[in-house]
Amino acid sequence: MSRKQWELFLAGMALLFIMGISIYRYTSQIPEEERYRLSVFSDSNDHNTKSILRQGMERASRDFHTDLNFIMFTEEQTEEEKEEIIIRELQKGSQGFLLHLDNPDLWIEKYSLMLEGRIVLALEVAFDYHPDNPSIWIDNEKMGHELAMELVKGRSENQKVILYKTEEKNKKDFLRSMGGKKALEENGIVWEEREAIDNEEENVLYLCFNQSATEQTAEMLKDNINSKCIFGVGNSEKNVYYLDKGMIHTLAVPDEYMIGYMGVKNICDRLSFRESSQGMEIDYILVSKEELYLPEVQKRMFPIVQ
Amino acid sequence: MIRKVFKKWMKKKQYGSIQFTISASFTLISLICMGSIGFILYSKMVSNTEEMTVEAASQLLNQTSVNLETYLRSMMRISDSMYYSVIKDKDISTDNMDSEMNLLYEANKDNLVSIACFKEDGELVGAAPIASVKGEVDIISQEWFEEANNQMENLHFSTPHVQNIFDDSSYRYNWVVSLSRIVELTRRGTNVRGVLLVDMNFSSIEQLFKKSNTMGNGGYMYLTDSKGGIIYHPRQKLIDGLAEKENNKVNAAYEDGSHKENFEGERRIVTVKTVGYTGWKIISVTPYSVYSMNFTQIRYFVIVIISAAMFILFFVNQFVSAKIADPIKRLNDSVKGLENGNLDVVIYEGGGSDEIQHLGKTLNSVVAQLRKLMDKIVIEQEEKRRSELYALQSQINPHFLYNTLDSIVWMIEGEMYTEAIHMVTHLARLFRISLSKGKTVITIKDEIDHAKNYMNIQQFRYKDKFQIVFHMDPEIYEYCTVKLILQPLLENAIYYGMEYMYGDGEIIVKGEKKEGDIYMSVEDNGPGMTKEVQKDLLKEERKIPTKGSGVGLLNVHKRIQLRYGEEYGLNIESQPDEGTKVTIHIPAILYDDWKKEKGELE
Repeated sequence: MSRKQWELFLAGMALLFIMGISIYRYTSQIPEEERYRLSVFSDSNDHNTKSILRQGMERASRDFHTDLNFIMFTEEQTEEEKEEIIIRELQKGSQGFLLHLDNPDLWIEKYSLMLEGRIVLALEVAFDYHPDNPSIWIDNEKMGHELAMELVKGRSENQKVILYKTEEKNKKDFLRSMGGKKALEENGIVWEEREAIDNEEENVLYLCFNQSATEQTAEMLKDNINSKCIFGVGNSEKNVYYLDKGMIHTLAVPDEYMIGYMGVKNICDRLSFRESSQGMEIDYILVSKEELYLPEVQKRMFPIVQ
Repeated sequence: MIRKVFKKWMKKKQYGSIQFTISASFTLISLICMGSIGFILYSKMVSNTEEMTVEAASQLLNQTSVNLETYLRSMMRISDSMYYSVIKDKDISTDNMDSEMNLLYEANKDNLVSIACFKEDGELVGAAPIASVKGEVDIISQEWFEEANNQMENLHFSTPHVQNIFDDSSYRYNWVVSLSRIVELTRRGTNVRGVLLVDMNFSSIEQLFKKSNTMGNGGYMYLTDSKGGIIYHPRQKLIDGLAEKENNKVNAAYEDGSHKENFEGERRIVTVKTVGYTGWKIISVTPYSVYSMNFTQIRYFVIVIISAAMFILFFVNQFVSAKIADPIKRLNDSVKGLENGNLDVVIYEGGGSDEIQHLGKTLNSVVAQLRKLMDKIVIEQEEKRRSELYALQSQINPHFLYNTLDSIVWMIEGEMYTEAIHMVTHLARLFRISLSKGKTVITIKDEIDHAKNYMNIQQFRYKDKFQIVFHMDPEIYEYCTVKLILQPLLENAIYYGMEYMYGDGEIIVKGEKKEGDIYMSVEDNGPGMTKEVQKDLLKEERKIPTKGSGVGLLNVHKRIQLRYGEEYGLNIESQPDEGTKVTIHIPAILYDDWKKEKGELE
């Protein structure tokens, strides 16, 4: 071979060698998926709800390579303390926020400047004033309406109806309450609204729109087993126990696990520029004592294997 | 049309050269071979990776199955212990089995939720931990109770469910797998049927599978009953919430072993194992994306290797093809000189394969032969020219012509007109045959006529000095001969043989066909010659003084040999004082035949 050919040959071999090494190194590295950091704010007092919701979110964080930071507010914390925690968390640089709060609209309005265009998603209740933000929501008004309709079906003539009062700032409960009231109105039933159930009355049906209210009412009436006088929300262990006992007539149970899972998934899809919906409605079920141990109901009512 | 264009392009680019052909062929074959090898290599590696993945999944599956069966067996042992060690020894009407039951429960409480024994009518006989049965629960209609009754000889394992038999004011609920069996209870000496229930904590099974799934290589494992109903799945809640799907019914129907399937657009390997005692199925799923992660690296690796090999082979091909083609090119270049008519060119025979060297040598040999042939042709042409020249010369030999014309003049002066006419006529005939329209080959008859005409003229001049006799076999007349071969011999016979004869000279001309050849001889009874003279007569470098044109015999001999080959020609026999005989030996070729082959070319 001529000198020129030799030079060309050696140059080509060198190039191939470099290419081979580069490709080998490139393919040897396990590609690290980009990990997102999300913050979860929750002010729910329902331990069971939080627990199942968290399970769903943690499952999604493993599936979509996400780090979650949970900020769970308690009743003991003051507003200032809560605000300080929120601001500190906002400054940490999370790429998205999941709000399991009573009123997510207020939260966005308060901290909009600090959000800097980051994705904010509401759980269990949809945004009213910020429809551009996604939400994983339940049709709370419809749920309240259907629960009230169960009450209407199960009510006898002289039975009184007492509603557990809800605050407007607690949007989720408020919507349910609206739905319930509407159902009662439609059926010409008069109700009484109370802030707390602190004594037992006879011949009364109670309509509760959140888990803790249901539990408190059931606790109050625990001596009145088989009364089937409570229509409530939530599948806490106590609620399920009282449903099984017969004190609670019907429980409305949303799929908290799916709410948590889909919430994280939705944000991750947006961050990865994958197609995602603006929001998603998650279903709920209405369970009576007779249905409690049906195979398909068991999985919803008893989500955690102890 | 495309072929024409392609050929034109190939020609233009000189892609038809042998080096290009060799190089391109080698490269193409290498490409095909390397490509095939690469493909086979890649396929084999992929296949091996798949097998390894299946093997790893199978091993994990087997281990999980062993662990599960061990767990189930332990539960069965508890049931057996309870039955054979406790229940069988008790009379339920008088004895209490709670303490033994509690003991057994306490010893296994990590895995148990409860142990209970019921009568045939559903009445509780004993339970651990101690608890009361819920009032509204109908024991007889419970699935575990009914199945136990249906499978009297065997133990029955239920699918996981929440235990709802006993009151528990701690608000706890337990997911259990119920192991139930029919037992023989003794009541007042009579046997009555009952059902023993051991509620296993489902969390044990769940933990077992969670552990296996974390050990996995990216796939997952789940558990179904014999009909495909999911007992445990790592993504159970998502499946229940319809966010995901699983091909559990189909998978559970597979035979034990590995299967490939395509589910929801995803390729995956599914390995199935049936769990003993229960008929449950452990199903391991390994998505293609998990074990194909290495495929990219393998693919690139193979491509790089093949590319490097192709690159090296390309240069090797160039080198080898150049090595092969270079001597052929040199040979070709040296032949080009030959093509241009240069016979002095030296054909390349220095290098290359044996065949090329042999070809070079052969070509050189051919060129040498060509040169010889060319030289021979030149000599032949020269001889021809000389003979023609000689013929012309002898024809227009001044002495012969002068003398003959002189003879004609004095005949005319002597008023010997008839003799003069004869002389002129013979001279004319002599010239006619001599020229023969430029032919070099004539019939023997013409040659004899020419000789006769010559002798007629010479006899006029050499009156009565000699006799000439022609003994020619008429058979040979139509055969062909080189012209002007007899006359030079006759001239020699006259000049050298008859000069000193005084009326007794004799020249005999004979001609016959013998053994396929023609023999013509001119014999004289002249003084003859010595052997030495005879020996040198037909040599080029002879030192014999000659008369006349001096090239007669040698000319004739050479011309005959040039025409017919060296085996033909003249043969001289002479004895001093006795005479000389010169024989012409030529092949017998009919003039017509010769004309057909070559006559027109003349």
